[in-house]
Amino acid sequence: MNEDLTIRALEQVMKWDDETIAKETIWLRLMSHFKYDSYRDYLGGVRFSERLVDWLQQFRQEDRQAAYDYVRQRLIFVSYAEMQHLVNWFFPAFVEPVLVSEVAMKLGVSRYLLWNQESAEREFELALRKTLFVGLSDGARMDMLRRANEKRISNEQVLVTTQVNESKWQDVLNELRVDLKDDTARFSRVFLVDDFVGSGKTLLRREDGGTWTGKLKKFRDEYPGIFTSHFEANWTLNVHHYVCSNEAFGRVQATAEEARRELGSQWFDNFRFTYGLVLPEDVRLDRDRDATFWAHTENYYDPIIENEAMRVGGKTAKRGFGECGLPLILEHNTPNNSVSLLWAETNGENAHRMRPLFRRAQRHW
Amino acid sequence: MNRWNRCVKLEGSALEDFFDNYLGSSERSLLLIAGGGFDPRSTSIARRVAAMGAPRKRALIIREERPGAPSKLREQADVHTAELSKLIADSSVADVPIFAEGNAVVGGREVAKLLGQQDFSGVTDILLDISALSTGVFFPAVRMLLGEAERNRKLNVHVVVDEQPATDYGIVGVASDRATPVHGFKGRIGLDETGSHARLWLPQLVLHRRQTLERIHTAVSPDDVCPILPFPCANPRLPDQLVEEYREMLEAWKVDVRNFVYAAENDPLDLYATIVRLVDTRERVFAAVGGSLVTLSPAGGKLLSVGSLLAALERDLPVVFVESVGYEITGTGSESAAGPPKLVHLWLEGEAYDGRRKTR
Amino acid sequence: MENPFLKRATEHLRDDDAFLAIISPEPLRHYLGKTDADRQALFDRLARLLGQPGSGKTTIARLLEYATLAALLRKRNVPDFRELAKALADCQVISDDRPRILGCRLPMEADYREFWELPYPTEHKHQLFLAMIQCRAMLYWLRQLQNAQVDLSHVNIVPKKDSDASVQAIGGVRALDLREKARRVEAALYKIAGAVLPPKLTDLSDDAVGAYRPFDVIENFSVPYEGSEMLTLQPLVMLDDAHQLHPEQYQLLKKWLMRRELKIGRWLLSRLDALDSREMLDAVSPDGTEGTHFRRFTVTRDVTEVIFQTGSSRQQERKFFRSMARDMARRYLDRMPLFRDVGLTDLGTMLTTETPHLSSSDVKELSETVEVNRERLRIPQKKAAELRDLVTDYLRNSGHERESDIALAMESILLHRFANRVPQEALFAELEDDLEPSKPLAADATVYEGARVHLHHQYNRPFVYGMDAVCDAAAENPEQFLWFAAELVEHLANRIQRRRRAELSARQQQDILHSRAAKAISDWDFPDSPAVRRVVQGIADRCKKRSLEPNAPLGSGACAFGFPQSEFERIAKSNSPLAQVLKFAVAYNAITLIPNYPCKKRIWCLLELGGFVLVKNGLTLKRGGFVEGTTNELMTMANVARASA
Repeated sequence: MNEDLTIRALEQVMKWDDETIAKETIWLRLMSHFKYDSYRDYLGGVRFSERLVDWLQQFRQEDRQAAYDYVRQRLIFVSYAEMQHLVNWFFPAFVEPVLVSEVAMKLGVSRYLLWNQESAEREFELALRKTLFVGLSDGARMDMLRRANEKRISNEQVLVTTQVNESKWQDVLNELRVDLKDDTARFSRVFLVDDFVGSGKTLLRREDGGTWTGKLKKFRDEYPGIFTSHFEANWTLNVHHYVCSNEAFGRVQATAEEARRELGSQWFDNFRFTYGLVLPEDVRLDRDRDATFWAHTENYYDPIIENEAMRVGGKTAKRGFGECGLPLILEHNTPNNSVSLLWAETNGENAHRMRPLFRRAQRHW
Repeated sequence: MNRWNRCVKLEGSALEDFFDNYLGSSERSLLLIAGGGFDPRSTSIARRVAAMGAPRKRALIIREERPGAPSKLREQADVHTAELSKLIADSSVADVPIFAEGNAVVGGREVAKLLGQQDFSGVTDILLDISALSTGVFFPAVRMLLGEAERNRKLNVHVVVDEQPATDYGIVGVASDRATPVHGFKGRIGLDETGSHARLWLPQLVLHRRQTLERIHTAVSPDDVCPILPFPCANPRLPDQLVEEYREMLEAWKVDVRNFVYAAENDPLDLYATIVRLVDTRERVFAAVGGSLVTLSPAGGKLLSVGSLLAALERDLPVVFVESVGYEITGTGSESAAGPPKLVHLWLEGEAYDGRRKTR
Repeated sequence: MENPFLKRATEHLRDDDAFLAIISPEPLRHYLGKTDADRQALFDRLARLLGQPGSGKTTIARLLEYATLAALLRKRNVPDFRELAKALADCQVISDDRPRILGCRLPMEADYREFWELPYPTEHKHQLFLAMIQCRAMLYWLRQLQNAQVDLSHVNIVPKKDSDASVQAIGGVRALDLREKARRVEAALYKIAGAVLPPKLTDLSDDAVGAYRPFDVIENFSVPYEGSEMLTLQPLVMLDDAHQLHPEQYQLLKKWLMRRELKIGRWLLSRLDALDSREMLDAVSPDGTEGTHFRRFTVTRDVTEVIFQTGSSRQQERKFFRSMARDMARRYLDRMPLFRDVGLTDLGTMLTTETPHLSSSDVKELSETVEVNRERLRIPQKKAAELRDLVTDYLRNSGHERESDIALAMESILLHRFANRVPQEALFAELEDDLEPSKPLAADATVYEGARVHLHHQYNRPFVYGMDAVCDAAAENPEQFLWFAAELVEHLANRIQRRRRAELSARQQQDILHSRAAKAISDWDFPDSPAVRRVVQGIADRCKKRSLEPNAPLGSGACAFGFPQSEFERIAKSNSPLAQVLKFAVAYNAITLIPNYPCKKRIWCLLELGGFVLVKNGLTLKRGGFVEGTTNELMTMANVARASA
């Protein structure tokens, strides 16, 4: 890739003076190398700076600077290394405390005195083995999670997806019983893991007609029998997201509680939600503070991106699914809750032809 | 297994439970060691301790004395010290000079001397409140207290802090002009035997400290640099900002993208585990060429510093820093801006681990 | 792209080849004496090398270490190194293409200062400290040999005569035994100084308190060199950053190293403590033409003193620094393929000195302003024309005839000077014949420079550009030069990448240098740096005001603050907060101190603003002009009064 050419193209596109181009080149080189070039969708020859040149050209000359500034000043890119850290951190920071307090309760001691008990290590290991880790999507990084915890978690307690057949469910239970040499052993907790929650609606929502749907509901309904056959009576459901929007933080818990009230025995008894990184409220695109770029999201928009799934989230997708207005890019994909100008690609037959900076791969599950 | 792999760390309601039902019981006899500083967080822990009716309570209030402290900050420290003395009636105040003649850093030595003179008999729990204590003081203090706990198996050692990263970022130290090991944390740096070791330096990056970092770099003279970036953190763009601010330096030090080490801003045990893992790996790798020496340089938030501290204690690592000759409070660091207390507790040694000691 | 300009000298210290590639021989010639006797005096008695951070002391010490010399000698036929080897031979560091000394640099880090904090009587602390220095020196000498691939099993020391007992105490004469002993001593001392709580004096181990005195024993080292040959090397220990020691500790060390019976070479490198008035005053002497300047090289019976980076007005220094900086820039650019491959290694040619011009509308406005002023000052057209002729003549003779904007600004200055120098009544009475100024007016280089300053502030006309200006802005400090050059080079690289001419306009240079200077100042992070920032800004503001007076009373303008020498001496003695502030301001090149400066029949002490401050504030880089003030003003600027309360 010829960096010189890209810089000259950028200079042309932005009509920058000498000093600005020199300064911005430094930034571009730094951030491309540090983060952006590692975006999963990029190919040799067309990485971040080339994409940026292409992306900026969809704006009129006078609108380009504001578009550039948004990327330069607001973008939040969770790199591979950062994601990996969120995955590594998951066990010690979110799994262990759950195990500690549940084991302490079982032993009837305060959690801070658990390690004072001689039986603590043994009980802890037992509780850990009775824990199941399930990926909610391919963003859950179950491979990474497994590698980070290979000495702690066995392969037989990890399911990369909730969509497994019944025989797989039987396998994991059998393995548990073999491992523990106990024919009656059951799981006592599940960790459902996913990369990101934006509006929370994909996870759990009530449709206009009053029916409940979403990934959690599907998990509950797929094989309702297993929750009695495979799990101990007071098992706990733990849902962990590596990254979450400020909006989802809090709201998800409330929605799940509402579901419990309405669905009763068709829902989970004990659940809790945890998050690795909670985005602050002020990262959201704001109509007043970010007025110029907000206007771009109005003017450079193609409603064709509003597929059915989109419409679930709100009226338009100008600021992304659910109008979340996030500046977020994950190294392996861009959430649809991010401002759509960042990721949308359309052919522009009836409206503006949107070009992506970080093209979004549609997820199938 | 590493010493603090199962470290008890409490906050929120779990910490309240611990305060009420453990520390707050009448069998306990507490010694609170806290800084009487200008830091707005100086008194939050003492206030919580004072609210416990049952246990016996005593306090040792440390006044860090710096030559370049503006009088406004001094006055604030006076107020906090007086408040602390009022909160815990049975208390004494000790001045700890941080510098000796010619700007030599002596704070660590002085605090060690002070703690060496204390009588801990009868005390069941020592709470070291590091909210308003600086690295150069609380690192050696923890080492001293853990030494005491070695001798007295009944003694519990706790570190507590009112953690507010925003306040930490708002307090800007005016740097001394020399980089020195923290007292008691030389970790063999400078010895001829480690002279040919592969040297790795793990500086914690914080904004606006270019000269300080350069000073430490010169003193440590590392072969490799792996800067520690806070992530996840309250401001998710902070890693990017740090990398941008220090671009020139990182380039000069040949820091590659893969060199960065990430550590959760609010979890000392995360950084602790990361460092220990790194140190152990390097030990193995470089055993063949003479050995490995990993040097730490904590900065910024208190909790992350504790992570470095635990790793340094466990693996006897050198900790090199630049002491502050004074402080300036910028923007958000003022008294009024301090948020509601957010207390975090770590139980470093004592009863909590008796079971593990027996099974070990 | 790797940009070597980003590295500070100390960051090159670990790699011999990279280090040698950027070393210029100039400082050796410049600083390390002129005569053979001078050079000898560097090695046969204590030598003290004093200078500010970044002045190049450490670089020289690093160069003189044995492993570096050996690496250099292996490459002595590479053209770039030949000069360096020659300079080192002139300094008697190498002879016959072989090293003559065995040098090691020992940074006086916290390790050593710590001994002074131990709760023992001074005599004991001193002994422990000396033992530490000696065992470390021993270990470092041997490490230098090892780094140069010397087989230590063939290395011996040659002891002084009649020192058998002492030889035993240091481990014998064989290198491996010496190392063994030194390591034991080091470990014992390290443990004492590093313990959280120090051991009782009576509990100290024999290794720590034994009679370990290698400096008194060793005369030479006998070292194998390139095969079978044996060299006799004089050991040289260079104790760097010695200002970190306790003052009392330093004095005792100095006294101990001054002993004539020592055979080893010993250097003490430290920061020049500007506020130790005796030291400072000893180091400077008045000079009739340019005020004062530092002695550079002094030999007395017991001590040789070398002062780096004099920093004050001396034209000579500037000339030298300019050539050194060019040489350094060439070596650095030569390491950057982007530049080397297209043969661009002269930074100077890429920094245009082409004069910038104001826009025609600005010139028009300026010319109208000049005319308005002339009328207001009631200066007749005829007189004004005469002044204009003076300006035209000067510009023509000095090759600046095309600078019409400068011509106007110079004319304006002369008009105001004229008005000041004739009786006001004469102007009002329009008595043309009486209009002769009390002192004749001249258009000269100082008026030209003053005009440049005026236009810079009034019309944002670029002021600092061109290689010489960059060098002058660096105020004779290589590190400051690199700081400026790093960003200029990045912008040039970017231009090359975009297929533009590798040249920066005056405007670009000005903007880059200005932002770079501002960043350097905001990055200052040392004791009292906030107060230092306040003081230099306070001085800069006053200088600016003075420089911009319409008649440019100081010509080029002011770049310094002068106050009575007697007041300075009082502060220097007082150890007041202000003294602290000034001390660090000098130590970190924020100001240069020029004491004993005679002017207008009084003796002044000048605080000359450092390069970063001058560039940031658009003040002249020409030295000499100062604003007069008092200690109280300085205290107000520093805002230190409250801290002293």
